[in-house]
Amino acid sequence: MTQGINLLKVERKRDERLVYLAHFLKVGSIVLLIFYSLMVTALFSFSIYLGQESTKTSQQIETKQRQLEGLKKIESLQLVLKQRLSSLTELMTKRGASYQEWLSQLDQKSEPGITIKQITILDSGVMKISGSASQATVLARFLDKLAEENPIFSTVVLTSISRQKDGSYLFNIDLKTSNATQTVS
Amino acid sequence: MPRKLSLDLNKYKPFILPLVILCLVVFSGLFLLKPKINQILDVRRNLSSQKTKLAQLTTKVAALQGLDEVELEERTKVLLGVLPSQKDLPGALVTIKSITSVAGLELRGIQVEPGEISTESAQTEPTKKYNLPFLEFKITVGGNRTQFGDFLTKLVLTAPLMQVTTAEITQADGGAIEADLKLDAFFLPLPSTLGAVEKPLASITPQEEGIYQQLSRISPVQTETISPIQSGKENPFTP
Repeated sequence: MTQGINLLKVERKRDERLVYLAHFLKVGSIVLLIFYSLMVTALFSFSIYLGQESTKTSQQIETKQRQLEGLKKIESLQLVLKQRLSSLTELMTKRGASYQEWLSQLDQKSEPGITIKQITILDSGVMKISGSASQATVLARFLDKLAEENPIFSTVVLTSISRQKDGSYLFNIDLKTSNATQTVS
Repeated sequence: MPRKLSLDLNKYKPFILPLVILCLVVFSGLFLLKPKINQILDVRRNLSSQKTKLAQLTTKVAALQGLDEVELEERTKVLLGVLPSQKDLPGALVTIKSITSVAGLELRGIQVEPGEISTESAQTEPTKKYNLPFLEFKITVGGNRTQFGDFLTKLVLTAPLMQVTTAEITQADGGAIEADLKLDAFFLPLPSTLGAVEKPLASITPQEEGIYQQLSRISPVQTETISPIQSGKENPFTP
């Protein structure tokens, strides 16, 4: 007695799987197509929006540039003003008391019996004084007064002193000032 | 009898549509979508820079509209008087001469440092001494202490801006003095260009405003106008 094997069963099962796969792929591809189409639409819409926005911004820039053309004179004036002020700021801030103030301060400190023969003011902020004093005590008083706290002279240095036959003294003094140059008072 | 191998194409028919869709997506993605995405990215970058530029221009326009043209002209005039745009040698000489004369001093000598007035551009670059170009004068004046003090006061209050760098004052027994001075007269050429349109407008700082207030007190020297003197003949050929 022979027993038969039905091979057709497997074939049917394979066909079913193929049909299922085909269906799955079909649905998947349609979903993909829809999603892709949406994405393409969104991208193109965004591209159009960007283009419009870019055109609008360009027009606004042109308007502003036209406005700036009309304001060119004011801009030039402001530029000249700024250039000059920024260049002068350094110079003006470095300026201290005027030479006139230095000389006035020196006059105030002067003593009877002191004769100033020569004053040299250097741009390094040093004032060199040469003169004579009738007596040593007069010179000492003069030096003390110069060394007193004041807004201009910071350091007082007696660089040389020599006694003359008549009892007077010739002296040289260096006065260092807190600033080198002059200011607009 | 051998079994005939035959391919049943009908079985694969349902796969054709997904395959076509896939090919369409892939090819259009490569040749249409990718360039479009690149283009969008470029436009976005461009738009971003355009918006920045627009914002800068808007700020600049607003700042410029807020400035008073008349006041600016007035201020510029003051500053151009204080700091001329070119080497104004005759102007500086007239100023020095006028100040010494007004102070009652005798101008015994005046010397301009050689080389610095030779050409317009001989010294337009800032020097180590200052951040401004300048003309250097050496002058010798004679008078008394009061007059000399008056001269120094007037010098710092007169335009164009000048600065005494060194002074050597010699006093005689009678009280008369002679002073040798080194003076620097400053100038600054005007800016040649306005710069980029979108460049922000340079605003005046409070410190610079203070400097302006100081400088606005400096005025040009009052020079007497010389009236023409009638001399000679209009036509030398007439008897």
